[in-house]
Amino acid sequence: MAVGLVGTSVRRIEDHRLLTGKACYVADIVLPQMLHMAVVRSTRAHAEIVEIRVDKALAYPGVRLVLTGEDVRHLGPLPCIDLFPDSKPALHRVLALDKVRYVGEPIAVVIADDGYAVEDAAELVEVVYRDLPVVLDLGEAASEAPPALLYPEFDTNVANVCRQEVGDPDAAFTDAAHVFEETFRIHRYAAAPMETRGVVADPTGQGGRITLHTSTQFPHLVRAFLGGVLGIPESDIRVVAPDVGGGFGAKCEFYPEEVISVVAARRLGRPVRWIEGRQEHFVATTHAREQIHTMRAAVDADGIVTAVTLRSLTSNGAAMFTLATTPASISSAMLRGPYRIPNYRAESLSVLTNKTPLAVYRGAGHPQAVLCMELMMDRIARDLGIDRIDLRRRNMLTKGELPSDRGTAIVLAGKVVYDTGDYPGCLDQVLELAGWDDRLRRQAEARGEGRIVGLGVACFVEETAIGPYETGHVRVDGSGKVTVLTGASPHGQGTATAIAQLVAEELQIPIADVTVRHGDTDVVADGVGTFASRGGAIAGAAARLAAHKVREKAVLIASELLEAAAVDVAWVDGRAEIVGVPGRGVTLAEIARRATAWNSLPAGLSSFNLDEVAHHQVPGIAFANAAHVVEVEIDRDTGTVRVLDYAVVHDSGRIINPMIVEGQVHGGIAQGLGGLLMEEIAYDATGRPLVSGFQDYFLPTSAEMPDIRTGFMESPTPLNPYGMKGAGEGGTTGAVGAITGAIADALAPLGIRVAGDGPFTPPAVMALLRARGEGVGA
Amino acid sequence: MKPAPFDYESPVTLDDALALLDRPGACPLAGGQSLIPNLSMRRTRPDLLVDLRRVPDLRSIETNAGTLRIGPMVTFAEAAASPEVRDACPLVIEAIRHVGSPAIRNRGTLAGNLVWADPASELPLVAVALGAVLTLRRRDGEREVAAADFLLGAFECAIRPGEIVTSIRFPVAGPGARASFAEVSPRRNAPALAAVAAQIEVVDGKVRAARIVVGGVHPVPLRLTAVEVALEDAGPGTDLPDLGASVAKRAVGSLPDAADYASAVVPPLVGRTIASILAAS
Amino acid sequence: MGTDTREIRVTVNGAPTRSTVPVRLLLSDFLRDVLGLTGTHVGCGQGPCGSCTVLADGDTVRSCLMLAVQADGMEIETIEGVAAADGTPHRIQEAFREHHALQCGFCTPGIVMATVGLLRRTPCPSAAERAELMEGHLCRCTGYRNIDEALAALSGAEPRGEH
Repeated sequence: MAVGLVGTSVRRIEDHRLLTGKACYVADIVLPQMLHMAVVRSTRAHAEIVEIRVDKALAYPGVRLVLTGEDVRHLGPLPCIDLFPDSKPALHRVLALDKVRYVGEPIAVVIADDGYAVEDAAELVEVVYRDLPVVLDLGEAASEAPPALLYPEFDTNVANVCRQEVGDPDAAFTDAAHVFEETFRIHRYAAAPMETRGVVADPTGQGGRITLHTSTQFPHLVRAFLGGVLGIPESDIRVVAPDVGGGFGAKCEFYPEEVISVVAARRLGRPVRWIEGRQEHFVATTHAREQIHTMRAAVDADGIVTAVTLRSLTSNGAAMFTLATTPASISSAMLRGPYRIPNYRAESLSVLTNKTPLAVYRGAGHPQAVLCMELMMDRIARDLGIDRIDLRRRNMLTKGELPSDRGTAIVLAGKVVYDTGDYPGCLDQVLELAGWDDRLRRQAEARGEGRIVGLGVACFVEETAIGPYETGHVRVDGSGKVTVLTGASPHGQGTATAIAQLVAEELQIPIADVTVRHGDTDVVADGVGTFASRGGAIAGAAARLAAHKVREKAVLIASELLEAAAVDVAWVDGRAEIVGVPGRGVTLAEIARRATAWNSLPAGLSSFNLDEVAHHQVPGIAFANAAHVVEVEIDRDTGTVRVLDYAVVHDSGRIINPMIVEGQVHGGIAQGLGGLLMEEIAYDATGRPLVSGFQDYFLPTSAEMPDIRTGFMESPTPLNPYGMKGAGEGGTTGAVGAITGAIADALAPLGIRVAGDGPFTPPAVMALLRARGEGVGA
Repeated sequence: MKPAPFDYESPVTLDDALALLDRPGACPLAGGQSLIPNLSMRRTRPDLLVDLRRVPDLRSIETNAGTLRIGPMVTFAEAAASPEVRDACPLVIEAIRHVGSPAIRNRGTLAGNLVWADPASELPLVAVALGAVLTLRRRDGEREVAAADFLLGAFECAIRPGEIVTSIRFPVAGPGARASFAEVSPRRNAPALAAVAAQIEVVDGKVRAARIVVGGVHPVPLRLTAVEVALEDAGPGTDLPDLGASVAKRAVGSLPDAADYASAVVPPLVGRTIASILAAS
Repeated sequence: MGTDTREIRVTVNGAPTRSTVPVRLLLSDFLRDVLGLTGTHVGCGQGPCGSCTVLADGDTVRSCLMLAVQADGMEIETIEGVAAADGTPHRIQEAFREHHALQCGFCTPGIVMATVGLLRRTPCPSAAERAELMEGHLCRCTGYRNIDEALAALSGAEPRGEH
């Protein structure tokens, strides 16, 4: 019955509660005596705080408490975990102290009896500012003489520099037949999950123990960070990630509200709730992507790229958040993607600017890297008159060249050693799926008719399933039902289903007999969380390892119950049977009951209970790969870009549930498409963001999405006991490169060179067309 | 994201409503689809909300003596489903397809939309194109204002404190009238960057009563009379879409303060709307 | 909260309710905080996202764009009323699960309610009518294709090939 569950499209065990209104997101939590918090945020991009007047707010009916930076001066800043020793610790404080560095920075909080009054009172907090010069432009911020220093004590706005050095790039450039240089500009946008962030901090536990309900991707890390900032033991803190309405990296950060709500709750002895508003979300939750990459490529006479150098700047905003270096680190470590390019040098600066802090978003630095590399490949092909597919094949690592130590490293994750994959095979398969030759022919016809049609292709390799480890705890109780406790903290991915598949298959039981619990640090003692395409692969492996141990233990117990040698006991359909004597067996429930502490310890066992814990310690990064092909058409009259067709072949190792992986790919593509065509967080010259919610930050709708054909390859990784890699981010990573490549291809015959990622809104594309004398308005 | 405090009344007669609206800081509430999010964002802070939902007779749609009259509480969904509107003003139907999304159209009213005077909104173009007349009533009187005079700028209209729209009147289109509405936006269901409302009567291959109004070029709808005249004067066999587009290009190109993008895309959109009308004729 | 209150009578999922509420209370907060029906989610409070969609007298509305007092006398239907009383999922809910038309589930109740409203009026909606429904709903997880397939299946259409 359960044999062969892995690899099938089992429908999700999460869905029933989500579809019937029975899910519990953080905003759904109601506790007795709960109070409401509002955050007073900076309206200035860079200013000294001269004075904060709170008396009017305190006098407002229903207000219980107002806290400012002075009240939490003694608390340390929020940690950034990917800083390395040479970094400038430009860390975010819980509440601003003396100075604000971006619009939206928390200055004070107001706590009141209800969610409406607290907003009334927050408006009454008066902040007197003395404005300072603002630095928004990335190049200026990183320059020798920036218009402003966010942290004068560091004497620079550069928080750190990630360096990569492989081979001898200087020699390669000296010998190069051709040298290409391009500067790519990547704009700022955001993850924008449908559920904003929120917290409920409950100080009413035993002995004042704290429970923090928070919409996060990594509750165990929040527990550690919170304990660190408050200086209290982790055992005094329980963190719960309830149902979480999407995260995509934005909730893989530790935020000031997760601290200040707890401070206020402890002060008042009552639960405190804060739910981020959508308008607030666009200043208070981390942004993503904004980078400038200056890239040079050395190419020999045969079109072999012999070396690449990169200097990149990342606009990290006003402070280094939890995973702030990662975008710069990944984009520099992974720039070369599937291409050999034996010589490489990168220098990637994380730069402080007067904007909302920027950190990871689905793909972290990969999308930017793929965009730059693939646009560069297309440019080399075009300029040298080489077919772009052929050029890619000439430079692509083959299956036989793997594993391949790439000579680079990613902060936190470690050395980049490509493990498995068939990159040329993946490209071949997607070209077939897309009907590439046919599309080329039709593109030529369309161009003959004056239409602006482009084809894009993006091949990439992607860091997934990173460590350090994940936990799995499988427990069978006397009912014979199985509970899995996982350290992953899924928030839409369907990881509970995937884990249930793995465990049900191992124990050969119906999936309905498996319950997966996650996201509560009191239930799951140890864990890491869900990010970096790691949940299914790493937590899945840990859970399956634990299930395997449970099964081995069950066989031992059964052998005693059946009075048979363990070697004579077989595991069949979720029960232990004596080999050759069908019908003579014991059920999982019977075995579990025998193992309880109410009985004597079964022979050969050192512990009671049918209950095992496993840690999957990750030996190294598993690298997924994929190839995307996309067709776009640009309306010459309006500048509207329409994505017409999409094909993707994705290799994330052994697949647990193809339906779920395909869903991840679809969703990832939609996010890539949105970022390229319509999403942007722009700032005015004073540093005020021009986005105030979903009425002016446009997520894609169903109407903009093309049909997507998805193919799979499975190259198992030896780094995972079951061969699994991660699949969460590849859709986005590939889409950003492929769609930009298609737009660039569409515009190339018009003499328009694309060196960035837009966003390609109708006015932006029209401006490109008109600058070249194309388009009606010219 | 919670409204600031206000007082609230839901009067049951128009006179009571107008008396309440005469108070300082009073604001009428019709469908609320623009007003309520702005209350929640605290961009609008009335002292008193006067909810018109219980006032009788504000929901009627009627055609009389060549005039379609739409009451102030008529929603987009009701107008779109109305045979009277379909027959009398096909352009209204065409434009409503682009307004918000179904749930917004179920609550949002045509009158409220005009009063909100959003430059990216569709109905103002239609009202100007068709020469709609609004009746504005206050406690002590009533006045009539043509749509073109009513819309003053981005989010600015001629309504005065204490007034509400009690009707929008559209002239009934002549026989053979066809309409088309086209717009460009960053994505489906996002504010228009540029838009064209067109209505033409085509009788025996000849254009009559052309109405071409464009949005996005100026903060208020811009009527392209030159295009209308050119279409009506065109001889047989003229490529009307092409003519419309080229005249529109000249007309828009000569304007000071024209928005760059909209000026560029409005001419081909004019051509498309005309082509679409001719295809349907 | 503002001091001005009103008594309202609203029928919610078939059950009459009577409450005294502040006049500025949004319908979404009334459903969630006063009645405890937290299946209606607020994704933006500004109108575009559609997560908070409920049926009011049978019409889809944004509950974040109505005041609770405006619902006085109305019949409101929320996601909690969609499955059968014994918990058996509605066929819309079944189709969404079957087609993997949801991931994080935050936007899902709004889309399900809009679908309930559409199918009640139009049992076999066309592709254009289904597209019109989806104009009003943002989903950040699924990329929409599976939602479209679920809607197509519910309409008796072939999941693909109707474009």
